[in-house]
Amino acid sequence: MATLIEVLVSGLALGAIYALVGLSLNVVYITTRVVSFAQGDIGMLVVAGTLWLGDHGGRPLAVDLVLALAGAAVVAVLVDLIAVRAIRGGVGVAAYGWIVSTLGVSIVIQNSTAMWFGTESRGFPHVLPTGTIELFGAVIPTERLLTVAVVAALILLLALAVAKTQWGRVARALADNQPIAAACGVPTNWIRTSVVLVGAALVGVAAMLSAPQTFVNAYIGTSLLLNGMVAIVLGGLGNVRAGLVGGLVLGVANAIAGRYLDSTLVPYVPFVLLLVWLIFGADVRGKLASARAARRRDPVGVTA
Amino acid sequence: MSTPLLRCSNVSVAYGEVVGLRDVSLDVAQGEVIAIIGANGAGKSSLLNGIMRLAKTTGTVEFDGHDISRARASRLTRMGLALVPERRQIFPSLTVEENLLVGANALPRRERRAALAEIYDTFALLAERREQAAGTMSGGQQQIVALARAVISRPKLCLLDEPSLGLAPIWVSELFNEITRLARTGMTIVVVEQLASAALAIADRGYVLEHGRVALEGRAADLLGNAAVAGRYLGSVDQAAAR
Amino acid sequence: MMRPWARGGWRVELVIVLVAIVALVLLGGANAYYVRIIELVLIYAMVGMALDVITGYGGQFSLGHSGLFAVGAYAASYGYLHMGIPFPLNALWAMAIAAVAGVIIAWPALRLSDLYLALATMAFAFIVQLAANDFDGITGGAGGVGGLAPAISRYGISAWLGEHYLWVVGLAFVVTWILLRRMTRSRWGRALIGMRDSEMLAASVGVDLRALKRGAFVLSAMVTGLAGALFAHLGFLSPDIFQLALSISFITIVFLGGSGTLIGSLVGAIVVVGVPERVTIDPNLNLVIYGALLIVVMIAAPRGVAGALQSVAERWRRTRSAPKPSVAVDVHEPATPGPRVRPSEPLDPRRALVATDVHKAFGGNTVLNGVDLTVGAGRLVGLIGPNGSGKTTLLNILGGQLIADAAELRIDDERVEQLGPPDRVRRGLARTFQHATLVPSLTVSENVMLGAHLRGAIPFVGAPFAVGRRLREERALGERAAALLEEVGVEPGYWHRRPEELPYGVTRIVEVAVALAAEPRYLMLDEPAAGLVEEEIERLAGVIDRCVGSGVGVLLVEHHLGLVLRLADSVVCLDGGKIIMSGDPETVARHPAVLEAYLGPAWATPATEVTP
Repeated sequence: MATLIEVLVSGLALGAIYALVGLSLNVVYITTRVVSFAQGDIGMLVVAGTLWLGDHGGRPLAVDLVLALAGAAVVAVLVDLIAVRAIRGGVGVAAYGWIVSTLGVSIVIQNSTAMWFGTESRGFPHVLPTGTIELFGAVIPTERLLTVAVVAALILLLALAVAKTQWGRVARALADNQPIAAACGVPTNWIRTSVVLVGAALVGVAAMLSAPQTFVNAYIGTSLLLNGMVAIVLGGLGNVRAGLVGGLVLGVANAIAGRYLDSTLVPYVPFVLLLVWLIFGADVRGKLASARAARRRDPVGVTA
Repeated sequence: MSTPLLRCSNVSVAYGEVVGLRDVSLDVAQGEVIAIIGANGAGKSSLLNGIMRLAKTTGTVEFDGHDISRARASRLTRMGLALVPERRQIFPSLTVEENLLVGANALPRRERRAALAEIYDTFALLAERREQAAGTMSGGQQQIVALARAVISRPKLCLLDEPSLGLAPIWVSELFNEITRLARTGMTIVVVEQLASAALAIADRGYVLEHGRVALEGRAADLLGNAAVAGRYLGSVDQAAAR
Repeated sequence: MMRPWARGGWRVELVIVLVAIVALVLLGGANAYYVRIIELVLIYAMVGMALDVITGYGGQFSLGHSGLFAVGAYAASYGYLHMGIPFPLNALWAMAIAAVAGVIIAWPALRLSDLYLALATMAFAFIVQLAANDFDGITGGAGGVGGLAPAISRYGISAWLGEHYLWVVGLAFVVTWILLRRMTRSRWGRALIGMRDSEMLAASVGVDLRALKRGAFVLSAMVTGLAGALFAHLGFLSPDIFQLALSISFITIVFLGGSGTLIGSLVGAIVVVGVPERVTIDPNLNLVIYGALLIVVMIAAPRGVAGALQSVAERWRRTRSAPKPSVAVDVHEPATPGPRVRPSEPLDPRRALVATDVHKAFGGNTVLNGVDLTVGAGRLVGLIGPNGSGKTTLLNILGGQLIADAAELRIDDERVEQLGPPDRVRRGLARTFQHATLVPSLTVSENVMLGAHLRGAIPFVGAPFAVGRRLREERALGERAAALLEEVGVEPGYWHRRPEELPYGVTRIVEVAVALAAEPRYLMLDEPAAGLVEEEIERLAGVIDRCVGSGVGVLLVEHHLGLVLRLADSVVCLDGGKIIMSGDPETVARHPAVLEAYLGPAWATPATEVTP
């Protein structure tokens, strides 16, 4: 029982981080219809940048974190401007041009970071208080519980912002119909930029929560991204609440596998989950999608 | 006549190679209701898209004394222009209230709630269904949402693009009553319509477009029921008969 | 934009090959190590070409080719070391295994759309990467599999092969290139490009999209497997090689070199593989530059190096050839034999396109409410009605682009509601669309040849091997396209231009030619006169008239009433999802109900006379 609780909490904490990355991807996708393959690296920049700043000047950790976040956010906006918006209108490659260009961005960010960060993996200071508590006989690091709490708080906050504020409304309107939103007086470019900034902040926090448990090097962005992508695919692209569930499912699955399966099989879990869901979950996805489509205007066009 | 509220001078609208509107000039005075009618492909929607900066135009469009030919679409609401788009195009994933609030984006935050309350007073239907997802509403209901979304910011000029499209007849008369009522409050209105009689019945003046040009214009009462209008509208039925 | 190499494109290919040879010689040299580099470049270029077929031509984005490459490499090594299969037979064995892997991925995964496909193939690549480390028995685990290159020399003849391995690889590359090139220059190349640019159009001319995607993916997997086998025999296999980064390298090779060009992958491979080996700067900087290149290429030159060269060549060729044809359309007057004789015998419902009791609703909106329609062979039915009446929806249901809530559809008395667009085309139905739908990357004549896709006979698997047959088939399709274009009155000066370069009126006429290329028995035209000027409408009318006269049943959806009245044998008016009037053209056009539908109640009174 105790181990089960430990495993579950560990899984939930992991899953919360994946869900946060997934949230970051979803928020941007909802407004721009693009999933940046460089999003994980933006998160990496936050933690790598914090460490670098820590090496150069005796500021408190919190200040370094904020500075690194700001820097990463600027990079995210530049990436959107250069590698995504510029691609949109091609013939033949239009559909997936941004996959290739964001992959390129990922390569650039990872390897240029390696140049100033170095090749050694480094530890990251704990951002949340360490220590343990006891729960039903299980020993649980408080950090894990706090991670779940922080992520839950962020998601709630963002859900509130998206649902109740004018910003959230116009961002959703933008996703529904950009030209008409503009015709209603919405400054579409600014809104898009703000969404990219929020996305960067979210993935930055995810990196901050994940790094203390593992390590930091120039390449951790890839695993952050992968887990986030699996989370949103499980939940359905664009579906924020389901992305949460997807992340938690993945986290718990990983934790359970880690505890009860042969260690060589553990790394396969996310990919097998992803493939199984993508390929065999098609019917379920289809039903979900048509249920959502029924609430929207018909995509084929009624005018005759 | 004093300066018209809207003046289009030699406006052409093209979508790539396709020319939607050729060299059209028209005026709309303050407080008028103008009907723009014509067959499909005649250029009616192109005209509105051009004015609203949703399509590339050449020529000059002046609104309220300002040249808006190169302005950005999002600025126009603040200047007092609003559009009820073709096929309504409400935001389907947003509720009725959210749709309205987006329409009120140009208003300062404090005023939005007040404007919303006014809309609910005017349109009982919307007050009843304020939390309903707009995408689940029928065409007629959506049209009311689209209309309210446009007028919540109290625009000086309201453009309506084929509002009767796909609506059951009872909704059409509801809708046109609503438009008339708005006109009586002093709003200037331009209605583009396929259903010529409904539009002309509520308008002061009308323009008949054909092949992207103005073919006929005049007082609405004169155009209504006019045989020449029918001929133009149906693309020269008489010419076909002559073959 | 990418296109298959038309006649004359071979000059650019030749230039690229020559430049590549020079570059390789510069890269290489007498030193054995540098010979290895050339071998590596050729092997990676092979994978590039394989990926180009499925991604560059076909538009299906795969991040999984590192996995297929690994499968080929390990299958070859296992076959050689543990199963005693000699070289080069183990390469064939590897191709077979890779093909199986390709089938396993392709069958379910190709239903997915772009992003999901990328993720699924990426997941596959990761699984292979992990498995390479784990399945020691096959792969030798992290320690790797060695002893492959020297082992070649264990078998007499193979010693010679081992010493001249570069020629083995070179031969494999050249043969692969030739075979793939032949395939892309057959009707399948056009079909792939059509599928990439516009699945809807490709399906509407009869291309079986699913079968094509699967076939192309399996072909791509086989070639990648072969490349993997050749790679294995370079000496040493280690799991580190087969990471996702390798898939990204392959993508870069294709997009940098020229997607949709095949030979461009050679250039890409030289840049991605060859240059870093020779020019050693900070390895991280290397990668940064390569990533930046990828971004720049996607923004500035999505066609890659080879594609850019191709554009330059095209532009040069164009300025040297005849000046751009004038827009005046009076040049080519096709012979007008006079108005068609209207059919007198009664309509045979077994030789007709029939729709019975069609119902369709979207959300709460009922768009079609019990519509019946019959288009007899050799007759033209005009379908009119105001906006929102359901005309295009009806056409989409007949064509297969949309599924009705309820309907009985028959083509020549065979029920077709369950069939997708390609199968309906096979049964003789063709259509045009309301909005311009030509394949942007293909020229006018290639578009028309694509329309005749089902008239070709060489199967996908046969395309790389049929030399004479392919040339004959291409010539026949080309001649047929030329005849059609002449008949519809498109000037020869336009035939080798892309749709974007044409005046709008010409593209609409070309679309009709594309639909006619399939030699349909029933043709549906969706507002073909929209946006056309008088002369163009004249010509269109002549084309349609001749078409009906030759026995084709035509359904014409139009707002241009004059055109409908001229051409139609009968007219049906749709309003609010129901047929409000049908019968002979004159009666329907003047009927008060029709006038009311279009204009409103003020025009409903019968006394309204239309005066010129």
